[in-house]
Amino acid sequence: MSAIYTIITATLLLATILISLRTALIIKAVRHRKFFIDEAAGCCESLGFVGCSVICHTEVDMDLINHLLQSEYDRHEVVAALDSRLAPEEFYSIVEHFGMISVNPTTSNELKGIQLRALYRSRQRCYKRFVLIDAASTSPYDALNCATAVASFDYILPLPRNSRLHPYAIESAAMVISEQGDRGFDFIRCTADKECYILRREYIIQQDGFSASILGGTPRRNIISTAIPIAYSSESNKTIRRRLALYALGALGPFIVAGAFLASAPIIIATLLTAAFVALLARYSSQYIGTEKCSERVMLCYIRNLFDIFCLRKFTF
Amino acid sequence: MQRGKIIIYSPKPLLAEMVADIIGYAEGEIMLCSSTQQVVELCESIRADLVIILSSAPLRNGKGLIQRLRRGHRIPAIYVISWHHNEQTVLSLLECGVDQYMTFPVCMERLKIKSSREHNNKWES
Amino acid sequence: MNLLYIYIIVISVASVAVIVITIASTIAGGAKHNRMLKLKASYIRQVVSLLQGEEQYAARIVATTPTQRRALCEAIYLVMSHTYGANSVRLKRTVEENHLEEFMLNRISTSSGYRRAQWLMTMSSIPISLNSIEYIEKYINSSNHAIRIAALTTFVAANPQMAIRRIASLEYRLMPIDLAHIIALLRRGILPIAYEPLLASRNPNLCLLGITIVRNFGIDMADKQLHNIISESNDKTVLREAILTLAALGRPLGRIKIRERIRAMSHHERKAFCRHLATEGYSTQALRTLFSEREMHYAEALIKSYKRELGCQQYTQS
Repeated sequence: MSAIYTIITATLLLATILISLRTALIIKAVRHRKFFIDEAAGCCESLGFVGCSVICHTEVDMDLINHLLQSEYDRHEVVAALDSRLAPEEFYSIVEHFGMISVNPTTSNELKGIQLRALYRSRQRCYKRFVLIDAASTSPYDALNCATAVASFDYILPLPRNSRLHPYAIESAAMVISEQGDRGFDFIRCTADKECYILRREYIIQQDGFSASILGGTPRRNIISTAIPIAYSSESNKTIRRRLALYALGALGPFIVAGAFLASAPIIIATLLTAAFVALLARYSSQYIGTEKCSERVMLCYIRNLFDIFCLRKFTF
Repeated sequence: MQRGKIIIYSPKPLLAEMVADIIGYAEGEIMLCSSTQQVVELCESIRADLVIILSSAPLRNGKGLIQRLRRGHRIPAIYVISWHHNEQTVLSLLECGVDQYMTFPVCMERLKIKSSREHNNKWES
Repeated sequence: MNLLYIYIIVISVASVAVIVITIASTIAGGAKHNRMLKLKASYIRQVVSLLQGEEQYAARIVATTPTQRRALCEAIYLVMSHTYGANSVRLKRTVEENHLEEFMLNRISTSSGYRRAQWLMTMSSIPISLNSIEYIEKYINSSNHAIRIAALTTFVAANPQMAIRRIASLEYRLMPIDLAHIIALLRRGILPIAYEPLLASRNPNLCLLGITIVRNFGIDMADKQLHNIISESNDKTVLREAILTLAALGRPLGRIKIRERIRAMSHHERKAFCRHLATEGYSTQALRTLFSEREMHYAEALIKSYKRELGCQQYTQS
């Protein structure tokens, strides 16, 4: 009996410590970003000429592209891979809106099996660099590979599904990369808000492109973790709340059941207090992460992050 | 004497306040905005002479904002002040239709003279 | 069981603490923040007027409470970091009358982490005494990256004559983001440094600073010195920065030494450099001298995609 109590207490304590550490890391990282990334950091020279290509292929519309192009950072481009046969109207309205020009669909031949129907580029002078690819929609990984094949910069940020980028996200990513100096790494894992990855282009090529196992083939020393918020979920509040309820049920359920089964009020009280503590920390750190109210979003990320400890690293899109 | 109408946009209110102080409230009617939508609406309603944008970000997506600012009969001069000094960035802003580009840190005297000249020219023409 | 009770007590106390901190920060971010903004805006107006030569304002700028002093310090920093050409000596009287130097030193010594760094950075905008310079110097070797660069910036701003010597004696390598802070001082005109001796220096920090100055101010004349660095330097970072700066200036890269250096790079580095040159607008012909036939195939694909005017057509919907 006492063993069960010890296990439950230890598990709750571990969760509390991990979440407290995570909050401290986020606050430190955000303060670091605020100190170093002021408006002057928009110039790539300040960040060691680091270039970053943001690639996306789902839910690409004018709104998303305008949002992604808003970054003030110099060496940054947006590459979107779409299938014009599936949604011709949307595709050509983007082409028309940005006054894009069709160029020969040449790729760097680094990734195998890349087949582009057409390649459109924005005119650099009037618009920030935006590249639109027309490729057959087979799988999300193929679309990401097509986008990588035409990307110009050394670091690739695949935008997760239903996501947007935080203000100064590209500058922050460039800052983290620039701070590594000569240290080689394969990818950066951004865990503060919605989990996303910034991958070194050469690493993607080494791994023969994007796949579910792309993150698995690298030793831990080649991974950089950052608590600077890069991406956030753009899902509706209703969806986030529903998901949060599900996750909370999954996390708290076993403890409540154990408490009820053992008819132990302390277990139930400790579980509920832990949940309240997580919620309070999420509320507090959301002040640092975002300008708008995002505590539910952050809370969801906190709980997800706890579950991730027990999961294998997998790149899902 | 009629005073010029100047709109200053910056996502950072204190920065806009500082530029307004440099130009001097006596020089004209100065309005501060913190969103581009606000700038467009204000520009249409008051027929501004000069719009000063303290960030290059709203103009990096093309000519959309400049076209909206210059939709009315009165065509405001557009100044951009930002930290960028990359030649390509400056050229792209000028090609977009920006009349004057300045980099931070900005010379107080020069900014004051430039803006003063700009709306004096407007009223003379 | 006892452990569980202890856990309940600890977590309850921790929760209350988080509630208190959250409420305090909400209050600080609400009405108090708005009051602070108004106060700062008022000080900004006074500081701008003072710097523009309206002497009568010098006597009027008064900050007596800590909140007012903080607002005045931040207002001075905002104005000074975004403008140049104003005579900062005019600020001296305001700083002395309101004891801003003592106030900032006190804040620097009592705060920690990023707050200390921010106060150090704020101090770079006011004229300070020799004693304060000595006090700040001890933070230049702090283990916190933000603190040491803020201290270095303030030291260099307050004591420009000693800038080169101090940078040369640094025990750590300056990062591009650190150099950007020093360049900002140069742009404000408070740090008169000649780039030529820096480029000739064997000290990597000084050499990097020289290269950054050349790049930031677009000094085409530094072509020869950059070639010398490429020929002689064995420091990987310095070498990389020198080549990137030549490319940023749009200079020809066909010299034998540059070709040798590029040949000595790893395959991945060469590819990354090739991509960099393509985005900088170099032609296929210019790159042919730098890369092998196989690499050129890759470079051509990249450059062609950038040269939109060649064989490209405007999209027209049929």
